[in-house]
Amino acid sequence: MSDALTAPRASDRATLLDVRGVQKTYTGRGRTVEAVRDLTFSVGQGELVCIVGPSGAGKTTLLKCIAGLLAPTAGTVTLDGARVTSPPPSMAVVFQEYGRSLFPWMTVEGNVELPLKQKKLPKARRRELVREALEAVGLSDVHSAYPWQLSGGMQQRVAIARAVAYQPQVLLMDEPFAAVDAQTRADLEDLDFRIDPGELVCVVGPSGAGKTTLLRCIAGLLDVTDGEVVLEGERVTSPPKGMAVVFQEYGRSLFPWMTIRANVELPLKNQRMPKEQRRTLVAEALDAVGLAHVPDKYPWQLSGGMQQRVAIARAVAYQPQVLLMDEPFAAVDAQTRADLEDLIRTVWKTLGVTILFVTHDIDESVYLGGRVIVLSSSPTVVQEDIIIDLPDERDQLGTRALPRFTELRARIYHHIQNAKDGAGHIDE
Amino acid sequence: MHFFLRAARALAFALVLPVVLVVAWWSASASSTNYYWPPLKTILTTFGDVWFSDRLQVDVLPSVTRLVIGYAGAVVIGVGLGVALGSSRTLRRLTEPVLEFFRAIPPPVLIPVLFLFAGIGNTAKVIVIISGAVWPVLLNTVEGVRAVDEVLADTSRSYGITGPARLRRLVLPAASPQIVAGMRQALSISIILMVISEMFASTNGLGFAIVQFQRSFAIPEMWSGILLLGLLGFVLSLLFQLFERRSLRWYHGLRRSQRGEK
Repeated sequence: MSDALTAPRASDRATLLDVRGVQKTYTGRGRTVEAVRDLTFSVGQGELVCIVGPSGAGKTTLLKCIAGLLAPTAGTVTLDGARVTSPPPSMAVVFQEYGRSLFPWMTVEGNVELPLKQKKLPKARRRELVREALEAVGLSDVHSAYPWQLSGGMQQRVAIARAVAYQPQVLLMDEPFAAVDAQTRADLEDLDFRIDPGELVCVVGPSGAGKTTLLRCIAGLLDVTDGEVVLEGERVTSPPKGMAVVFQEYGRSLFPWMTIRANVELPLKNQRMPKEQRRTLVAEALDAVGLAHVPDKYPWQLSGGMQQRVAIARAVAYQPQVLLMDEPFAAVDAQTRADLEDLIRTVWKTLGVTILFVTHDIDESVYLGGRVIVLSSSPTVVQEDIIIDLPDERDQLGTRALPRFTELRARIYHHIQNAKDGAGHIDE
Repeated sequence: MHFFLRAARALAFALVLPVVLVVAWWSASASSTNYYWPPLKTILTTFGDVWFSDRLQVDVLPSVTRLVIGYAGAVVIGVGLGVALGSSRTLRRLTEPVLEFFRAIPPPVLIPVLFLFAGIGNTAKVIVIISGAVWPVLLNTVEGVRAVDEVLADTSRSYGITGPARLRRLVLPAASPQIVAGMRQALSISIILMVISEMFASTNGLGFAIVQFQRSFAIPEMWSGILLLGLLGFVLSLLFQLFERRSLRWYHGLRRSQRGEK
């Protein structure tokens, strides 16, 4: 292993990081919000500690307090015996928002090197550390590219390389993989499958398999180079009327200048549906996703999971024959995700709509789907088409504990590993 | 109660510096005997005499009318052209060099030329204002339209929101933060050009009046005119802020939530 990745430097203390009675409250607009209350724990030299909690638990706030980016309202953070009041030089943070934590005006190399320049390391040493760190995350080939030329996963690797090259004693990571998706330009090759009315089909495949490309082709948003997409005997050349799409980026698929109700209503208005009917459909859809109480809020006033519910409500109110979903839950936390998965099953059963659900999460595909289509790596073909013969009534704990569930999951996992190895390149 | 307390504090903060400056000017100029630098007291007395008379109708009203028409024209033309240019790459490539050239011409030099063709009446002055104020609106609109979010665009397409509905529901609102930024710059340019065009050749207007006062050595009157222009600009910018806060409420809320503030 390279020098950049060796264990933290020796210290005479067993406890490296000590968090004692940390509390953080926010005041503003006449309200006081308690984000973190009286938290105490310590982390030893060389430990790998995970912090888990529902969204809104204050995980990010805690991490920022530890990193010295926020001053706790009460309590102390101690690193190697010294109290943390500002970001200490021996700590590095990897943020969730990779797109906003890399400097877009610098190359990958420049980004990784910047903190080292700040440390006033000699040039030769900097070069060496940068090279080693990029090698460690498998990005040696793109050292002179700009961050925005890379996929989300690769951008996050750059952020990790930057943290590693910095040689910190403590590496803090704030949900670094929550927003990593399967952005890709991969080619599709000769894909063949059909979906019958009323099916719920999941498409899984390794990152880079072109799942998003496939979905955009089906939605009529992207022209196919060869072959055709047929909906009810009609060839799809532009977005067809009977299809609705739910995108992964909920924050960017809702109109921020419209209220929740207006967002759901817009496609219906556009169809010149009479007002009465519109109102009823919107109310029913919002009710179905459990958002009947917030019609007059704006999307950005809601949490990520709720925003995605709005996007689902909009699709439901549109009364499509086919509902396409592109990794809709990739960017929400695990608890919300479970709720939303159940919501999709309910919507599917009550409305009898046909759903094509793209995901990179194997568990999710097995849990949701009546059928799972496994894609291979680029160039993409259908690797396997599996019927999910689990009971129709599914619940998060029971279904996932079934031996059959584990079996199916293992089978798909196996196929995907094969696909990756077969293609012989890293998973971007 | 809490609200009023906070509002009062905000008002106090906003007033401290102006009050200090006025007091400083007042006391520094109180015993001034310099002809060109009269006491503030004299200027303020003159202010009432000069501007709360028929000058309000003779000079102020025409100026403001020209300003409003010119500014509105610049916004309409800027947004209209900007949307067209922002939506079409071909159109952009076709017009870019020409637009860059016209943009590089300082509008005041157009004044003598325009006065030759359009006379010294209102039309020429409005054209001068438009020719200078249209650029920030145009360029910002082009940028705003080009930067419409891809996912939002896909969402609109997949729900069949195309053509005029797309323009009204997606493009204009999405570009509105940039458009408003351009409009803010255009407002100050409009005021400057309004005054300059009236200083050249005119029979009425604020710029005309100030130059007249200066030429006839009516110094306190001249100062009072400058004060009035300052006040006019200040009031207009306040109105603009009000408009911006209302029309871009969603944008500021979105930005706040993105920065992690509640």
